[in-house]
Amino acid sequence: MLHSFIAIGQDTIALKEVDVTARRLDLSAIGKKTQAIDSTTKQQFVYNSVGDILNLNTPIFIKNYGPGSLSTSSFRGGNASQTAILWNGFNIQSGMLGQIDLALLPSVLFDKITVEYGGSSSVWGSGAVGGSIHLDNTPRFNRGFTTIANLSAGSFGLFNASTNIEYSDKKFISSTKAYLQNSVNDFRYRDTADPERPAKIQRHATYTFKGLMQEFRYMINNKQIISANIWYNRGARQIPVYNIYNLSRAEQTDANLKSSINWNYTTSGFKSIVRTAFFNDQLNYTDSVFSIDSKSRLQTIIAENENNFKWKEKNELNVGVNFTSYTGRVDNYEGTKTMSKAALFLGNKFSFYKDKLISYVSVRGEYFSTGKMPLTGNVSLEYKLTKNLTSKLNGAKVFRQPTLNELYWRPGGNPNLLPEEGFTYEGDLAFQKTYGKFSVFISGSAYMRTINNWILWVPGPNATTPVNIQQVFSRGTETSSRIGWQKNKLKISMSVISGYVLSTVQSSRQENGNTEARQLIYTPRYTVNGNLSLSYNHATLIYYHQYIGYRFTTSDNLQWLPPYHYSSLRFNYKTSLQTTNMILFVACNNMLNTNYEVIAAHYMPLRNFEIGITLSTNKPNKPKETGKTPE
Amino acid sequence: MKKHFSLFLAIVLFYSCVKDKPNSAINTQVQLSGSKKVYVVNEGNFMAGNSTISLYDPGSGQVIEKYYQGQNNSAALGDVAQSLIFYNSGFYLVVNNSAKIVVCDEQMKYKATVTGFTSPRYILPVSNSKAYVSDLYANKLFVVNLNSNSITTSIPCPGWTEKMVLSYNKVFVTNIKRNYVYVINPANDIKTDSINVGPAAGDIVVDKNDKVWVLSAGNNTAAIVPSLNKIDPLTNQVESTLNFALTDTPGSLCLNKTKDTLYFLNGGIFRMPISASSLPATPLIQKGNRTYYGLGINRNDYTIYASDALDYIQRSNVYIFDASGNEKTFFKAGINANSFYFE
Repeated sequence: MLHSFIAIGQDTIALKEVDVTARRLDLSAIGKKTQAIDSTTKQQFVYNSVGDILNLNTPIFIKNYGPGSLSTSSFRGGNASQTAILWNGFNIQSGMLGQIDLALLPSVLFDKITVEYGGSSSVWGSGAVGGSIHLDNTPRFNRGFTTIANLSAGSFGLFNASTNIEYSDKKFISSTKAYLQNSVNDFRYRDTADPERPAKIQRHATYTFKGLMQEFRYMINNKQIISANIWYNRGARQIPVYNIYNLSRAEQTDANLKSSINWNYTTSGFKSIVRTAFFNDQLNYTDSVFSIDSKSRLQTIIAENENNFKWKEKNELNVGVNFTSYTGRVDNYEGTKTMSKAALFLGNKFSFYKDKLISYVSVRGEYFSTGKMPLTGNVSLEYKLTKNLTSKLNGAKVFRQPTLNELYWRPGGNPNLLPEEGFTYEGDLAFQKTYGKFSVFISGSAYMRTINNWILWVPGPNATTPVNIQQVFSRGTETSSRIGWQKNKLKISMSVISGYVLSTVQSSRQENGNTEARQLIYTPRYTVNGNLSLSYNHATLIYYHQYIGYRFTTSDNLQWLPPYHYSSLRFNYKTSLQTTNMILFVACNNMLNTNYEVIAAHYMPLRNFEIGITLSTNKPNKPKETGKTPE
Repeated sequence: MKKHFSLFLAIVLFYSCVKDKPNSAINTQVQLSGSKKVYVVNEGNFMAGNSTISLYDPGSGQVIEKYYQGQNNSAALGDVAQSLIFYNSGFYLVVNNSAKIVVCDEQMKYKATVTGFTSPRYILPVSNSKAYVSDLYANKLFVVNLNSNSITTSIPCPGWTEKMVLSYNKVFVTNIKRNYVYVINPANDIKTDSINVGPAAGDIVVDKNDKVWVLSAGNNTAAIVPSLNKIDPLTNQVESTLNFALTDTPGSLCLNKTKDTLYFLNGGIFRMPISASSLPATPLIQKGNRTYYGLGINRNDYTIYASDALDYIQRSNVYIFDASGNEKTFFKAGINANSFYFE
């Protein structure tokens, strides 16, 4: 589990090694664009959140309310609850809110971060509409004793510490990760809405995130592995002041316990996983000025069985069941509300011409205690046109089940809500080739998606109420291009990731409304992320540049936030001190000193700095076993 | 190699060349007639700093959007404009989340800002130089000096104080979080009485006989029905109570010019003479697909103005009906139009 530098240019992944991860991600990825965050990038963002890493390295628009504040995703023109976020295959999107705060997920916790583009409700269930984000822990057997410590400090009182202590032998793994992040977060900004007194300092914005993740794995015999994970996270945040005259007293505390047990059975042609998870999520929001004291509690129980059969060499049948139950309690429910769902999923990979043409066909039937049963499906094709050129096509039925809040929040909750559902289609073309010292990777995607019964909170008879009011048509293109050049110890690479999305209301049932053919709010039509990386021997310098286009703030598109350019220069230097490997890190964020808001009235910091150090040691079990290349 | 590189460049350039800048559809060239104007209070969105005032000209059917901004070199008004009054030949704009009252002249040109509130809702002048200001969270009523435009003192009033009226030289204050209307003597700022009207009362008006009408929204969870209460301001006693059904959601109580007819929203738009002994069974104007949010009766011609805020994040529709309830026209006001001031 050493962080090491590998060549840039491998952004699609192939899981070859036997591990406890389900086969479903690999199968679901057939005919679909996927992107694994490479280890170089992960090291550059080891002190940051999953939200930060996705923001600069994917076309996903991260709706960020400020450093340490709520961060959610807008994936291919969908909203936050239309992205599935899975931790080791378990969906961790809140059953109450339909979303999870990406600011609360430190990237250092996860060995592998994979972005699956496009809809895959028939594989992952409700919410996998715009795309899915997979956060996986993949510790390996027989790596010996490894310790890693990450320490960083930055502007505005930012302090960050994390550690990973891992022991693994041939049969047993223990991985312990702990993290602490703290910031006063009192940055200066220019308030463009207050021309008389534009110079402001953000107040009441301190945050502290801390947590612990423990994982055990035990190999019972060469066919069976049992593993257990437990992760506790605690976030305490002051909610900043957003008006001129008031002093905010609002505070939010999140406490999240997530745990799971997995049993894995693998033989040459068959793999079975039986696993269960229990999550306990608490969110307290208090505001002494406004006399608000809201406490919400959510318990999630998931049980799942997945079986994978290989037939006729390269064909695979995947069949499984999933049971999920949410139990939520908040004052506004006036009691406890529950939602249970049972799902049966079935998929098959067909292989033709020795895997030159592969296809995955899947269906998923889901029964909800709260509503009708959506049946979803997916058909995808992947064809290697030449050795270097791969084409992908897929079509899927997708859906999102209403959340507990949408159904039961009082006042306003609407128990008669239907799931959002629709169809998504996508085509991709990817070219990859190495010409001597040059390597080139170019991929282009085009997609379209129509969602009916899109849920929107609108004025109701008593209060704001969610209704299935509109149809939304999303379509767009994405490109991902990278060129690399390498000579001896010098490596240069440049990459550009672009996204263009039109996500517009096709029809709305509101009389004399003005939203038809208008772009959804906070959905930039253009996003471009580019980076230029220079690496010599053990030193790596990466310049990130981001452009985010206009974001509308009203549904009639008459108000908007201006586009902005953001840039970050990050430098890593790897060295060693006897048996300790050391990575020194320096970063300058928002180099152009852009004054910008991602979300209206929530300003972002001007130019700021970070420094960090990562120390790691590894003591192998036996000298004989060290020959393997660490990931 | 070259071919692929140029393809790559072409892709990059393609994305940087397409124009993304949106067009503003707001009409800035407006020819007004001589008719008396209608001012629409548009709340805007919480924390978005986008409250506006729309000026509607019934004579020409034209609207000036962002009227305050237009009169004040585009200065922002703040957010959640809650209410507007015209008094002493000037406007008072109560801006809730910005915790301020903006004082303007009759052209709506900025004169002063009154600050020091927590979350102000409504302002009621009680003399030429003094006004009371209700507040959502302050647990008190503020007393403002209208000459110095500053808070002079406050009257303890726990709960969410809302609309206020003056009758027989007594101030009647509704309170959403209490079951009472509080009575205050404006001469010495002392609370003198409280009148039980039921939960969640926010609307209050005074009719031509100086009777005080209070609309209580009830409490659905506790199975307390909404009610319309008539208070005798001399005795501080509830004279009559008319009960709604538990599922009813009445609001936006207002009066016509002659103060002899009540109007309110309850899904549709209802009308009721003050002499009526029971609530109207059917609406004057059906709800249809709309969700009416704000209501006002033009004191010049008895026309009925009702706003529909749609999804809260786009311009509202304001529908105009004649005195018989026939729809005449509609216009677009700002985001979350909640009330009207008729010149």
